[in-house]
Amino acid sequence: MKPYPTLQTERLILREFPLEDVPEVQRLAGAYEIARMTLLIPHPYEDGMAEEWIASLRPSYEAGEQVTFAVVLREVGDLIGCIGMGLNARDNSGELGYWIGVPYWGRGYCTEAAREMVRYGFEVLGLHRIYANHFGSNLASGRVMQKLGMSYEGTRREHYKKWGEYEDQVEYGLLASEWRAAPV
Amino acid sequence: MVLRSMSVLWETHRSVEDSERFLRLAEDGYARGDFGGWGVVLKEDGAFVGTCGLDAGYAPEHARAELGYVLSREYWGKGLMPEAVRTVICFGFERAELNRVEARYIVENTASARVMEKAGMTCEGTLREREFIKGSYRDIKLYSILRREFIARRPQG
Repeated sequence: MKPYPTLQTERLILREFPLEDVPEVQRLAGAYEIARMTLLIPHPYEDGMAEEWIASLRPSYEAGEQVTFAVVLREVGDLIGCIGMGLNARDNSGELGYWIGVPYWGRGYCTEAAREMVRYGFEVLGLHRIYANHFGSNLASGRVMQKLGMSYEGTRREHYKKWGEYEDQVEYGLLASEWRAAPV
Repeated sequence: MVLRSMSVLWETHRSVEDSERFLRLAEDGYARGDFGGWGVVLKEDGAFVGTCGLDAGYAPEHARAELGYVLSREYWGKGLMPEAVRTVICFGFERAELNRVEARYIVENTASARVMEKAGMTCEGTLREREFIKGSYRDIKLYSILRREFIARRPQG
């Protein structure tokens, strides 16, 4: 079994999700704002869904498909969100994804966690490219990507139908060479 | 693998019944969620020149499909692929109820860029060093056409 990494930033710890996190995952991910701006989070977020999701993380990490972390406040130990990267071995790329619970918005936690994920992706995983996508209506997520030094690369128009409405998919990308030249 | 799922896009149309039969075949496939990987055949001599289809990245929940095609080299430069692509796009919007048809090509493939543009597709961006193909990282260009654009451009009647 591969050891699961644990990362740290000034205010945060990024670690594996244990089953103890289930109620808090359900509470935070169950918020309308979180589900509305992501593709795969079910809404309503029912009992049993968090367990099933957490149970899937370790096997897919072992298979090299993705690495997903709980984002936790260092001082108090509270779970505040989730950050992860889907990995593609052929293209040596990582797709960054994240959500921070609504009560914890506006304090720069997402950018702080994402910066560390980007460092982990380039320095530890040796990725060539890290990219991220957001719904056209989710400008806040785009601002995080900009702060990470990612470049806007394109928009897939009306790419998703989210709850009956079409959403653009906006993509940002960052190359290892760019990141090394100007680590964020 | 490609041949197994193939059904011919065009045969020499001898009658209206031939055209109807093609459309029924295509619609049956579409009803199964299968857009084939149609064979492209020249009407004038029946030569098989390539394939064209919407079978990559079909996402009915998002009313979207991805266009792919291959054209035999000796038939390049005659406007054949734009014609096939326009036909397949037309099928996608008129028969398969799609909202979006998209395509991706490596930046070096300027012939594909022209095919996309002639078929009325818009370039949406470039994903840098996105795919590792034949020994190096390639930039990928994104193209698409939306239902509302297709309808607006369609000649009336």
